[in-house]
Amino acid sequence: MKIILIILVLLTSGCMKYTDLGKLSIVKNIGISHDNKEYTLYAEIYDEIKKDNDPKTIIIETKGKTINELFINLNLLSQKEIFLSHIDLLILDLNLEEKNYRDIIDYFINNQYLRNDFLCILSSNIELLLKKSQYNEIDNYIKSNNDIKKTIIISFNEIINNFLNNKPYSISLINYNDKLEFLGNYTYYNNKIEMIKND
Amino acid sequence: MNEINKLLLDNSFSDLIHKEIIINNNIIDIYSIETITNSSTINDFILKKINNLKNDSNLYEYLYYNLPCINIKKIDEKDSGYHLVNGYTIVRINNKYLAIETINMPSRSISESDYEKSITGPKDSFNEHFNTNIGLIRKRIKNINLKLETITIGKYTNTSVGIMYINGICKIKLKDKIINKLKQINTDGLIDSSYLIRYLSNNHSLFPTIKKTERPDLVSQSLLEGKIIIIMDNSPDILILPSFFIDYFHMSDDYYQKSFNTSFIRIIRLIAFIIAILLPSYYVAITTFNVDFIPINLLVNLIGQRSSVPFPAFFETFIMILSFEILRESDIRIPSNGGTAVSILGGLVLGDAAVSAGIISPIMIIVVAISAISSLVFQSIEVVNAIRFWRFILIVLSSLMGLYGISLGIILIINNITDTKSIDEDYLFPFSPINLTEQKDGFIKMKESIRKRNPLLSNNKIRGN
Repeated sequence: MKIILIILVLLTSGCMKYTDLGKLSIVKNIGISHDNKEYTLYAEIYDEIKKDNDPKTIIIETKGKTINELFINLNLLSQKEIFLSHIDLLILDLNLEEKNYRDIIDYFINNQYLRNDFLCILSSNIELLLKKSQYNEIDNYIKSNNDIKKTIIISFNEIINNFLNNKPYSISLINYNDKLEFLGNYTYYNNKIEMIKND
Repeated sequence: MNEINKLLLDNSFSDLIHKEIIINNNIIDIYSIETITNSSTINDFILKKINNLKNDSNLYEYLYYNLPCINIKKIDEKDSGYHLVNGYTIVRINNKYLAIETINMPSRSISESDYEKSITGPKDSFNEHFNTNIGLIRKRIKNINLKLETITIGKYTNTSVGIMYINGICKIKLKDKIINKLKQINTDGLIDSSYLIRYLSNNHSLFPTIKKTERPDLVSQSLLEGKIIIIMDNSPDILILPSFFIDYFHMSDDYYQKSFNTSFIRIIRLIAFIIAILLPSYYVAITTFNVDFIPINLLVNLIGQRSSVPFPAFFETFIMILSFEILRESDIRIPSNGGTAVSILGGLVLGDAAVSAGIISPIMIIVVAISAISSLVFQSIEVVNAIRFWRFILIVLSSLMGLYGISLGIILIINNITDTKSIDEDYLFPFSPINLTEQKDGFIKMKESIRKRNPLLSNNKIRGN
């Protein structure tokens, strides 16, 4: 009986994915935009992390017709396995439509290796924002301005919840123009991309 | 020819001394072993008395009643050998035997315990001398209810084993059970009290169910709680039984400090116990299976540290822990003047050089060091060994199944401890079965007040009665 129990415990425990730390490409920040034809993904990932050196990041840009294809392409371009659990920031393009939101949410909900508690902002120039500013700067900028009721701190989880429950939600628009620039909050309601800019 | 004369004739007992005195045509033979008897006692109190004997019709009876010795016995010929090797001087008169205690067994003086140190409280510790050890306990508990029953075990060693308990506190059934178990021991010899543990403890748990101690204050404290102690000749370690899991988190100087400080240090010991068992396996789990558990900044740091290490985390951990165990073992065995070499080798080669060579990551050194130091919080070497065993098991499980494997390992440990009995008493008492009164002196020590005694150990419920 004990042996059967032990075998059951071991065999019915589900998959356990062995991960070697040295073979991971940790994705720090991502940005997603969409033109009429395809999606573009900007992923800021940690480059070679060496002892005694400060870790450096690089930005990889990929294109794909679906969100899934974006991440497959990202994996192909990266030398190591893409690790999405530690995303700090998701930058969404200002011009994304409702269908695009649905695709993104669908992918993120169904990916078991993702945590959806990262910060979310809007931007009209994702690549420049990622290149010119660090996550900490953006995070500090949003939090410090949140105190005076301007910027909105919203996680992707809240967006998912509100989106699926047809509740309105607001995201701050931040661009980089020599310095970080807050351009207002955009509110989405009734799952329509009917944006209200409220400064 | 008597048994002792045979020994003299075949020249195989060279420290056996024989003196023959003739008085009134009666031959008096005196036998003793010079290496374990006090020759001045024999000269002053036996030989002088015998030499001064006048014509007496019954020398045997005269000596029995008049020799100035407290411990003198009339014995049969068959017991003469036993008494001889136990330090008695044998006097034979007309084939009748007297055994007179002139024992002077070599023993060391009372010193401070090496491995059961305390900051406050008594510093004396037991040594290998049976009577000295009993004396150290009687010195603390001056009561006629402190009983001592002595039995002899070992076909060849004839070792004295004493069972001490306080009549009126201790459960007599428990005491009888222990004595019955001891009487059933059939062995050639006992060298140390640890030999007795295997006869008294019949479970498969690696955690000790019988506590060994060198401290008389701890033994006295245990006797007052209703526990039974076993003293063995030639062993400085006194056995306390039954012992519970919680007893290994208690040190004798816990009772010499304020309750708040004692509770604090006991919680530290509990944390140390958890760290000692779990830390290396947790490291393996989160760096191989559950990477998403690590905060990003720490993860980047870990990746940087492990970037030059050629081994998987499991193998790296295994090497380091194995190296530490080898170092610890050699440190125990090496003479004290060679200890510096071991420290240099251990500190530099295993630490700095291995990291510089890129074989081991610095975090691994930290993990193993913290885990090893945590396990050394416990005075009992059996607890340290049990921690070591479970640490290895958990490392293997975590390397196969990550945190899920650790969860399985913890279930196994809990299952093992709950299944353990100490002389048929539940090892996890007072947590299982729950006893709230006794838990006042569990991990948290409540302020001193009138407490009931442990119901498993005593029928005399209120302390002070």
